Amino acid sequence: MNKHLTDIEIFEFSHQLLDDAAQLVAFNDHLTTCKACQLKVNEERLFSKAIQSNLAVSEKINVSEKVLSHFQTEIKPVFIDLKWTIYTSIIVAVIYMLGTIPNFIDVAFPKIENLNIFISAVFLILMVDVVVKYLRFKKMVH
Amino acid sequence: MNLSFLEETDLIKGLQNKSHSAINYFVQLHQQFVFVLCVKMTNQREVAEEITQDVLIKCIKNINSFEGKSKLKTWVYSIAHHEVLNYLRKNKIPTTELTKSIPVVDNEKNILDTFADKDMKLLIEHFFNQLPADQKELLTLFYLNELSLKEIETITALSAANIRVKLFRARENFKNLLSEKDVTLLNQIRYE
Repeated sequence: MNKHLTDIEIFEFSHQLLDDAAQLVAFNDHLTTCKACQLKVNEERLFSKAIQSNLAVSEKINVSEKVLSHFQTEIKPVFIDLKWTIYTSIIVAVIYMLGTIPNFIDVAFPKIENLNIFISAVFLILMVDVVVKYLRFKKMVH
Repeated sequence: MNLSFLEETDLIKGLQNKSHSAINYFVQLHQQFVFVLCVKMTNQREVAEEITQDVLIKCIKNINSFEGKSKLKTWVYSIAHHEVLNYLRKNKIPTTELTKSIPVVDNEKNILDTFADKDMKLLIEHFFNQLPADQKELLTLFYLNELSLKEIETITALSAANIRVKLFRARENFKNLLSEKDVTLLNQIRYE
């Protein structure tokens, strides 16, 4: 390779941006003999270092408290959503009370066999949900 | 609490659970890099700090969308990249805004007089701030945050070849800005 390196080649070589191994070898060979290109590469490196040091940001910031406070206000550990508990309890209680009125179910609803088992199953699901919520709450608190 | 031993996957799990120590460690780890990018692109310290804060909060909130295809740091940078560009677009901030402490001057002699007693750093920053936002970003990512081409590729969604050319142009532009104003200045920077 006899011709001089172009500006962009000097730039890429100086910053090791070349991904072509053959090109890299050719450039290295050229640079061992060409003083002018060597000088350009050295200048490029010096210039880059100077730019780097002159543009460096010395000021340090710390936003960790602000970020943490954002999440503290956003995620308060809650065991059970009170509204959800009240509404579910009322609905279940109403269903249970309606079940105690003589002949009501025969009149108002299609006949449901084993209503007690059905209601017990609903309560069981609710209880499991409560336990899961408690475990999550405990994890968030710690 | 020292969490520096943590693997990236542990940190991500901690962030998913919104663990205080994980959030704190994550912020300590990334805030400075993000701040450098923001301050270089906006040239306003307070705004840069605010964007840094927003970027980190956004990252923690959206940690579940991190797919692990790149490093966590690169992912944080790509969010910062979008946030800063959004800020610049929304506020229609000219990319040639000048550093507050430096008066606008329009001829070579005045510039040299103005900066005769000033720190070299201020002068260089003054010309840096005259570059377009995308060039400032590339120079910041490459020179100041010392990211690899691959990382810059992920952040900016540009091809490696394109980045090489753009980076060269940005650097040439910057060099020209400096040398147009004063030939000796360039030499001073080179051999400082």
